[in-house]
Amino acid sequence: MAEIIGQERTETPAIELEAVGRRFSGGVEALAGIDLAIQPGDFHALTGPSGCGKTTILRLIAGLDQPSSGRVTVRPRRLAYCFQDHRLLPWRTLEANVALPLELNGVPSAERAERARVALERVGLESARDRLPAACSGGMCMRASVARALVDTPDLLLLDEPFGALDEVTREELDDMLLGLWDSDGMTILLVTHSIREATYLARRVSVMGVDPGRIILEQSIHLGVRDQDTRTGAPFNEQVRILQQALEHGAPMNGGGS
Amino acid sequence: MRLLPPVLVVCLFLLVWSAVVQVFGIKEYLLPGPLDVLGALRSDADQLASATLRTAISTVSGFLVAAVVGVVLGSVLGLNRWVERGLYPPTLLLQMVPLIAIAPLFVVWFGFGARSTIAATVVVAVFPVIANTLGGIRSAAPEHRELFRLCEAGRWATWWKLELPSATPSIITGLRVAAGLSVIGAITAEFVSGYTGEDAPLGAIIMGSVKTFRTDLMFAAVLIASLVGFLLFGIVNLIGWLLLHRWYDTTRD
Repeated sequence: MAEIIGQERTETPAIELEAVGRRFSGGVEALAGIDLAIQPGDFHALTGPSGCGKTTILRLIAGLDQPSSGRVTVRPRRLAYCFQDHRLLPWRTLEANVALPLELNGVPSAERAERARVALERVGLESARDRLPAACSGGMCMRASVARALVDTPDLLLLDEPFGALDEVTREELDDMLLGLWDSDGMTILLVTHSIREATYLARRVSVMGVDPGRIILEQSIHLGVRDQDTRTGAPFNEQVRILQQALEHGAPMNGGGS
Repeated sequence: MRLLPPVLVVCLFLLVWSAVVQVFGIKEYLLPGPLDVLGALRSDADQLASATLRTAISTVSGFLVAAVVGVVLGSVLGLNRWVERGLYPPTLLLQMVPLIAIAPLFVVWFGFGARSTIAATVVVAVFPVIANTLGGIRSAAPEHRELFRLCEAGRWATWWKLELPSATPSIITGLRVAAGLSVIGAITAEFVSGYTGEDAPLGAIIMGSVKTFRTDLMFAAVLIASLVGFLLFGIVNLIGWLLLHRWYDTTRD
């Protein structure tokens, strides 16, 4: 069972997973007994080793996959998913790619061009809007895919290692961009990342997962105040990272009760 | 500079051809030399020109119909697995029917002339377009399909905005094959359906010239027919390049 550290809030959670299990057809138990509640407006991170079922949880929440047991409740109506890879359509310019969700929802063309432009501006790509993905760097493409996720003003943003394939500098830059977007929009964000440092830096609450079967072994609030360029080198940050790291390495939390 | 090697090869080929005919004293009705063929191109220029126009119109019309029908049928087959299982085998049968065997049937249905030629051309050229459209639609990235699912895209939007563009490289490949087949289809059909005399298309000239031992004229007609196919192939290639070269290139432009 997951150990809960920090204040429990009493609002109705935006996302609720109750005793969720997922067994794949080969008999692999990807998830077992997952209990997870995410409050509206929270920035929550899921972290853990490969194969712990982080992405499966995101897919269950997005409705791309169904649980074998238990219940998944998602309350926000507009949700956006940002995949591990940018998934831009190679025949569309960045602007047309960003406008795609609007287009598929029948938004008139003048309005969607305008909104796509605004979304591109927010991720710092306004000057590249007429470029095709093939003419853009990996970082630019990921930015565009974030813009595509934001364009329909989601209440819930699901991020699956969105910056995992990028170099460290670009990654930290995009992390800060993400925090800025969360600050201004107040949507609920659920981020999957294998990097404990990234999870700690971005999220207000972090769940650490273990493998065989995929389960949550520790859930913890992160209190670091406003993030800035010194956050990552500060002692509180590293202490948080250390606690999560230990839980990850031992497959159980090291402080407080057992697993 | 890129043109130099093929030009050299062609020149060499013509020289060897010419030399073989000269040295072994081969009769013209068996194998005319390059110069004899050139002579036929000149002496029968008027007839060849109008024949080329007829054959080219049949070829291109047949090709265009095959392209449209092929993309539509391929897309229908791509709707779901059930449709594919039901319709693909009969489509395959279309490919297996020897054209020369059914060309007379088209004459019965459509009469002599361009209409039955075009019908036969479509039958020959349509299959690679169907198969490549279907293959291209099937190869649309599952990741992109997921994206469309998340956006709750309808069947029509998924086809138009995802499947068709994803299939474009594959469709172009199918059209390239169809371009070559169109000429084969048109010429073969014209063996059966072509008028002779004034209104003869290239296929009819080829057949007729065999009967009158005008092998030089036959070679000229074959040469022109090949060029028609080559030109059509080149146009398809160019269109393909214009459409696709910017999608997958890296930051070169």
